[in-house]
Amino acid sequence: MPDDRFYLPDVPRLPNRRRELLRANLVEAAAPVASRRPERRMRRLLLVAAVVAVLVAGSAVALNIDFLGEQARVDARPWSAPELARVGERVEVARGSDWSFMAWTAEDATCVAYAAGDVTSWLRVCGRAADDVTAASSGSPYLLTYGAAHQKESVSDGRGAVFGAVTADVTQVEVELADGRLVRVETKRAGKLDTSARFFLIREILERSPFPATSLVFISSSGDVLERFPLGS
Amino acid sequence: MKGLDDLTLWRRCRADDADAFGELFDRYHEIVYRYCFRRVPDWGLAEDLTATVFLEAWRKRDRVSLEHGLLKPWLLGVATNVIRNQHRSIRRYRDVIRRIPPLRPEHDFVDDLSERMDVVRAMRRVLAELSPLPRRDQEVLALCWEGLTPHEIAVALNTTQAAVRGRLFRLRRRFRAAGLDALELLPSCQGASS
Repeated sequence: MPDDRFYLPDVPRLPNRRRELLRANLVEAAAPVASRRPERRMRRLLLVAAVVAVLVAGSAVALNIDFLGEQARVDARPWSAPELARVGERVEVARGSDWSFMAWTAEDATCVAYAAGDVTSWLRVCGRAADDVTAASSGSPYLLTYGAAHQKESVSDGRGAVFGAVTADVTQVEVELADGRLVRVETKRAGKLDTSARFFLIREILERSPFPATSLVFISSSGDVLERFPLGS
Repeated sequence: MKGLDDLTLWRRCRADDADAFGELFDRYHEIVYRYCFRRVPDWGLAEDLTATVFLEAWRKRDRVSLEHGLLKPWLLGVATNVIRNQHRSIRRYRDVIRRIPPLRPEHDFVDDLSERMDVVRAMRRVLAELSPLPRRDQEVLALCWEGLTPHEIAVALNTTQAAVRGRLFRLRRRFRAAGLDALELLPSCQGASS
């Protein structure tokens, strides 16, 4: 009689999609740099200089749509959660002609909003305050809040966004998108806000999956990986 | 590329042919993945280790000139070393491995999740029973499970056939003394003397 303790199970194969992804990454790693096609180079780590430029606080950009005004109107609605009532200013951390990434603080929270296309198309998310260490045990010690918005036809460049707020020790965030791409971006303070939190935003064409990003990687000023935070876990 | 024998394929890899490297992966990823999983019953880690094995093989290609028929055992030997030093090995290729999105069981395995969990549990049970064995014996056993001959196991572990046969002999004797069916546990090690 065979001994059940030593039953050697058959091992299921690697799923096709993962096998293809693994193979593609390995072959790309093996390919000499000179022979890599431009679109392959684009799939390596990107430092999104354009987003960095837009994230510089105080940059004068022509404002065509009053996203801040719309968010103020949202504040006044009766269903806005009182514990998330804004304390101090709400600022635009970054914006384009038809999109805006905004941030503010509440008494015990850090909040961000992303609006694109028109003022009525927006998403707000709030998380813990930057100096609230007691909440870290329930999740990441570095991530305060995050969100994502799929692209809309009404947005002129057709891009969606992944955005959020992190603690002061995170100087770069690398977003692992659902389609396997990595996008790295500098985080920035929002100068006028009374918080040590830093903010990040990437704008890309995003895969239409339940959530367009699979994880966030937090990187310190010395280039060390502080944490790889899986999303949806 | 598909019709090339292993020796020619390996020569092309040594000539920095990335397509040949892709073909190498196509031919051997399954056995490497299965071997890694049976050693560390964890799907995500097995995947990372598999990637690391092929990256190590690529890194070492200039230094290794393989005889005919020995590509498979050599790769499993690389896998054995990668598993022994897994933290250091994975760290070396962290940038490449990180590009592979983490496993999401609810998306990737939704149809057979419970079966996969059963496999993990069964494999952990086996490894727990075998844990009193010396590490080398466990490695010989795991390579035996992949159908390698004693000669191939010797190549994988960079040792002699005599040493491998000696270990197999002692393993069979040990299993019999414990009342276990040695053939069940050493199914494909042809040529091991009983």
